[in-house]
Amino acid sequence: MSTLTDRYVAAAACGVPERQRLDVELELRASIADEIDARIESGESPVAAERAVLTAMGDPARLAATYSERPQYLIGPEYFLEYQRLLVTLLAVIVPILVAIAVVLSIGENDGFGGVFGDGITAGIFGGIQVVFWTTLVFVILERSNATQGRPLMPWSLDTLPNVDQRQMAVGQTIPSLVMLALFAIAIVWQEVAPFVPGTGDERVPVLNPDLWSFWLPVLLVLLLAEAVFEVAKYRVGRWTAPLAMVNTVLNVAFAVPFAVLAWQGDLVNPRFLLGLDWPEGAESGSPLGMAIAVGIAAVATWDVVDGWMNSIRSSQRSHGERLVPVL
Amino acid sequence: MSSMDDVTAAHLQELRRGTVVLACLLVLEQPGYGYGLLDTLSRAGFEVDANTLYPLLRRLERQGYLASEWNTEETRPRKFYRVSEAGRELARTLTADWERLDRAIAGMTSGMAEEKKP
Repeated sequence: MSTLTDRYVAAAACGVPERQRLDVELELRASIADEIDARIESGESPVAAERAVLTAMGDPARLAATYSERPQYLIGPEYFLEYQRLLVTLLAVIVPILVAIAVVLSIGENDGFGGVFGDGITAGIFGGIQVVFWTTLVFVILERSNATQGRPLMPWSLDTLPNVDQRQMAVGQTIPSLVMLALFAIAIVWQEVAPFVPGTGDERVPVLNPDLWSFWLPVLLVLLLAEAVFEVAKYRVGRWTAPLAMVNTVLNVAFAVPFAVLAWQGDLVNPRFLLGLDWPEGAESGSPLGMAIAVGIAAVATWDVVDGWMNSIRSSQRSHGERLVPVL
Repeated sequence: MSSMDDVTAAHLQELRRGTVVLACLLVLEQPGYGYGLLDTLSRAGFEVDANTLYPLLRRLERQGYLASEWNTEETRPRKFYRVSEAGRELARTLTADWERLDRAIAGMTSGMAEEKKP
């Protein structure tokens, strides 16, 4: 039967390159035996001594990696920043393109709103996974092959320092907001023009009450446009200010009050859609559905208003703070 | 309190990191083998783990600072390491730097004592 030492040495040796293996194995065996002997001499039992020595040596796989000087990480500090930078850039560029292509193809196939939405999400997730996988693989190979001999991939110089920018709004926040607003507007028009949810029987009906197109839904589209203009304005100002928070409040109230009232009265959701769900009472005034939507609208709007004011207070404190306390 | 001690221990480890290499190069003027060297270093106050020292010896050998030879005359064959000419040169360089640092630190501490006097 093999001893613990045999098993330990074998486990460590199999992680060491072939040409060093025998040498490492013999040396390790001798060192372990020496150490065990020393412990036995100082009064330990042979079994306890062997266990103590091998335990102190630690995981044999780690020892083998140290012996063969293999990096015990996927991407080290040498390449990590470039890896991170490239990954973020590629994800930001490639994923939206893939989503756009998938959405266009899906629209061509006439899958309906749900199908197009699903295709876009799927393309985004799988594209993202591919980008992460291949980028990581390339960097792992770079790391292992020591291709740049310890020099950074992209040499850093003073010229690459970005300009100091006081703005706290990044394009990275504004563009997603604009995209969300556009998608919201498209969804509102789409569900009316090409209905995809079932009504009674085989017919497809809009989700929102078509009667609202006489006034409130056009108002909603105008409000979305105003919100988009507001986002651009916020980006150009560069940070939240009290006037911006005020405009934000007005926009939110203009949206939330009429639509929460409509929802509460049961006028927001298409009654034919609710009929298809066997839930005609959902269209009654004060129905649980209407109340839930109204409360949801009020909650989101309140949160957005409070968030806007908090941000404007915080950013004015920050700009004062910079002037009063130059060194923190 | 214990986290404070951890931080201290980490700084001490950082400070001592390179000294094990120098100690090995100096001790191995006389041929030595893995466990024997571990014992010698620990007696001299260098607490180094076996799983750090053994791979370190091999690395220094690969870099040409140590030469090795198997001794098979005794019942237990052992690999003996001995410092090479390049290793001796490295030891001189490291020792000189060590002394320079020691003088610099001594200068700083006495300089601080001077400043406090008046």
